[in-house]
Amino acid sequence: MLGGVLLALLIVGGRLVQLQVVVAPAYAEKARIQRLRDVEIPARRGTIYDREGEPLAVSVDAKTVYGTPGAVKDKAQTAKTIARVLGLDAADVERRLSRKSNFTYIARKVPLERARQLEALELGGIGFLDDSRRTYPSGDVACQVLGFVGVDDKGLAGIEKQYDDTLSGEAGVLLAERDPYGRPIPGGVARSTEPLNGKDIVLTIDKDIQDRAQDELTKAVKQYKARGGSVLIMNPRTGEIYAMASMPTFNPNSYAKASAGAVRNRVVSDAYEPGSTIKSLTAASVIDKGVYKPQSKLKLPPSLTVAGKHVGEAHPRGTVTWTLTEIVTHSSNVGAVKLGQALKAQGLYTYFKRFGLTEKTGIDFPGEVTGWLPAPKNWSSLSMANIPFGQGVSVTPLQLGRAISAIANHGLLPAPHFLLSMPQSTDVKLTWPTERAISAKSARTTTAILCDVVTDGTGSAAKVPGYNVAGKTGTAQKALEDGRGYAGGKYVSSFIGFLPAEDPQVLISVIIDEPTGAIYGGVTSAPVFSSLAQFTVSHLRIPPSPTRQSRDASVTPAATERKD
Amino acid sequence: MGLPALRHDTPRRERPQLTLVDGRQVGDRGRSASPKAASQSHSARWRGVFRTFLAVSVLFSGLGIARVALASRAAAVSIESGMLREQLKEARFVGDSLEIKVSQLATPSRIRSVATSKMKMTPAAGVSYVTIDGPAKHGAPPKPEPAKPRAATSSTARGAAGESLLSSVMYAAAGEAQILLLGDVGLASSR
Repeated sequence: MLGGVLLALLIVGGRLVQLQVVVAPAYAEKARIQRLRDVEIPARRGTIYDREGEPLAVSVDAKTVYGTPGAVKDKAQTAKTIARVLGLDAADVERRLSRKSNFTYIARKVPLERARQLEALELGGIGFLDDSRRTYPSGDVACQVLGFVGVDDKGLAGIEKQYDDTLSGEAGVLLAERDPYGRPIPGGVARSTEPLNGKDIVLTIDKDIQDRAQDELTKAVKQYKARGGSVLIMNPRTGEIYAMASMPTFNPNSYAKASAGAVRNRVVSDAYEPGSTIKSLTAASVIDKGVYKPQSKLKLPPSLTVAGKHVGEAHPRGTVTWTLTEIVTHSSNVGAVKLGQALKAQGLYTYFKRFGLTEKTGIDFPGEVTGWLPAPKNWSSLSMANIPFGQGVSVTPLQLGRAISAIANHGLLPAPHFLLSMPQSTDVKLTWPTERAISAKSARTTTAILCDVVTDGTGSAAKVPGYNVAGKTGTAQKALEDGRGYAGGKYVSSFIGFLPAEDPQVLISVIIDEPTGAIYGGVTSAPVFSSLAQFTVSHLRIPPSPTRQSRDASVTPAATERKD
Repeated sequence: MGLPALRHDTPRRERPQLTLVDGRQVGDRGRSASPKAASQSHSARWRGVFRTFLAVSVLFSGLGIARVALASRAAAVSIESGMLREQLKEARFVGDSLEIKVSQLATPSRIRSVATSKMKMTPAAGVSYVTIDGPAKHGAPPKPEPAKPRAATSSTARGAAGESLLSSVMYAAAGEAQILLLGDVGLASSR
């Protein structure tokens, strides 16, 4: 009897020793691992401001709601309550709570007010994690430029993607002891690393100009029942982009509902055959090469035949003798081909290359494409019959805007960009290099010709009261998707110009894709240019032109003009 | 006559024979020899041990109390910092929300809508430009113009006065329009 008791005591004692001494450290470690959790402390994403300090994209605190299915007693009732408070589908919530796992997301990026309502109900098995929510206060203003972020606050498109590293910051880590519901145990923090919040950035975009651009473009697309359109407004000297709009638009606050076409930034990612707007570059090239002057006269038949291809005018006429200026102001296709022939294929290609038409602009925006202009060795016999007046070559609106900016900027190609400054990185110096395309004198001469396009030519609807405007219309046949020929009855109409001509500070490009009813750039796009230009110069407080441009006078250089 | 000479023979000193004696034997002998003295030394020993034990106990107690006090203070500070963090988050949330609200109020489309629906404003039919002299420098008193010969006609003087009146009216109207369109929140962020 005594022996049995002693044996029992021995066994129990031995087991106690084994648990308390031998395996105790291992169990303690397991418990510690169970309690201790690495919790990521999200970094606050930086704010995106417009050039006047208006917030365009802001991150606000939010909550992620999660569930521990095993700890939820009445799943159906809990799901109904959560669905009622958060506006979710009760069946979906119940499905999540019924999963065989210790953790399931119920809703992410829940506004703080709603999360607090839910928290106050103290539902068993329901926990909350810190999160943030990206908000775009102005709705669809600059939507294609800003882009959007995904559920994990990573930039997926636009500026959000381009500057994701700067905006993201670095998440911190909190090693804390938590109870089975995930709630932190007070005083149980082992260590923590504070998050490094993302940096704010300031864009060159002006919210008011951007909104106006979208509004005017929407009206024009609606008026002409067009397929779409785009607008670019920039400073031709500095390359700062005031506005970049594409139709249709979307709301970045609910980007999941947006169509692929709405998300695309057409100014940067759509190439098109520019048509007659290219004639401004052809004219600038022959002037810079010294082949012709503005008053040089050319005899122009009603049509030309080049390598078997018939080149005619948009408005048939007889044989005329026009100056170079008149070729541009009347937008003569025959005249443009003759100018191109004077330059020859290699000369034309070289100048178009100098204007940046064979390369990307390098803008700080993802997804930029370049147009199509092959080297002369790959040109067909018909190329010289259409490239000089903008068919058989494709460019993006941004490429063309940059090229025309060279004419406005004393022959220097600017670097288009969106980033204006990073307020918290004072040691970062932003530089945007320029490249010489043509001489300053050639640029001045070409500007005078383009002024005549507005005063006496096809661009008269682009006039802006009180300002000298230089610009060019364009009406191009639209190429078929497979590149074999042109779609009948489909056009891309455009107008691109800058003002004040004597001291350019604003360049605007308006493109309407497949307008119906009216197809000419001078009718559909030029009035949009005029309206936008009027608003922009008023908003930026650019004073009117001191003297009005006359037909044959050259533009008076501004006091700040750089010398060659 | 003297005493007979005596030779003092100093006996060689012998080294004392010493042997190590076991203490217990001595104690036993001592106890048996003196029980009272033995018990006194025993008590003294135990008293020393007890004093040592007390001192160690007090030291450990002190350390323990200090540790508990530090731990509780650390927990209190942790809770306080957590509360402060929450207050900061709340303040930041309120600030962000206000910033968003201001931006939404200042959205051009909203302003356009308020201007057309509430203020019955319409876009201008045309645009013309009026040259207005710039304002005087801030803080500097307006310089009195020197007296000029009266060569100007009264209509020119009326024209100059009209232009300054026009600029004042335009400025006041712009301020009123801003108040109506944006409200106090918008004014706070107006430039």
